[in-house]
Amino acid sequence: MDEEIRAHLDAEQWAEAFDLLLRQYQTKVFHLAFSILGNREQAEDAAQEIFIRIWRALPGYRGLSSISTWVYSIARNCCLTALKSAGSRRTVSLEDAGARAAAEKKSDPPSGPHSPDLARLIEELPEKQRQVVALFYLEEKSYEEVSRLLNIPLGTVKTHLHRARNTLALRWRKEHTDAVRGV
Amino acid sequence: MPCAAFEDLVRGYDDLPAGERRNVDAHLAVCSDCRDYVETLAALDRELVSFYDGFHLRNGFAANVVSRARVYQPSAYQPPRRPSAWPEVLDFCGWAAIVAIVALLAVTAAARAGITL
Repeated sequence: MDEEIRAHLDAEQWAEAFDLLLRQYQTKVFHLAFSILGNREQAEDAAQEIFIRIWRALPGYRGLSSISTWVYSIARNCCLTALKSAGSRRTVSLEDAGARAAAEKKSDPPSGPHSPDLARLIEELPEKQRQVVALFYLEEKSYEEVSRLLNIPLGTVKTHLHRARNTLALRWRKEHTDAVRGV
Repeated sequence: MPCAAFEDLVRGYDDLPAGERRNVDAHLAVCSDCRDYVETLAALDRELVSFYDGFHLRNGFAANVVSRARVYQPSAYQPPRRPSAWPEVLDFCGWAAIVAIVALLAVTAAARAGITL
């Protein structure tokens, strides 16, 4: 597909190239935006902005990097800009995070009947670990894809993921036990 | 909590080579803490798979992007514009005027001197 996109770009057939590019990368860009922004609505808005920026920048693609690298780099920059303009996530209090997670969960797939609030536990993870966890599960457990999308080494992806799963497992088990005991 | 010596191994259980996995399995058979931890990780894994399974783009996303993008033109690259012909035209006109004036002066001077061309 990337070869086909390149061929259209070389021929300055922007619309055809964009059509293929959108089809090829829309899901991955949305996943990347979701992992960084942590919110479905914002991720979808950001994904739209990213593709509009890509459309406008198409003639500037010089082929020095692969198309995916170029697309993901634009996507990451857009998301970081969106994150800055929305204010630092770090300033969001835990109550706000919990309320937002609870509000989002209404439209999100429900977890098991006795599951602790997984969305809140994920929200409480450090930024990078949260991004890696989200992308790992959204990208069908591919370490390589997470590494490519976030542009971080494979070993770092594994470290973040292992730490996140350890933290989640311990908190999740504690909350699960508390829930069963009725605490 | 899992045993410190096995913590990393049980956490990365799925990625272990067969030999190491056999060692971990032997330990799990006798250690309930590590077994509980592995079971919790497996259950958490299933929950996470199910949790993230519902995050899909809404239908019509691509159509929406295309309709918004049509407002703009790809613009990062401006093909080099053909140089304007006006400088050459003006240059030509200037030289033509000079030649005409010199010719006029020459004819006038010749007429005054009584030279017939």
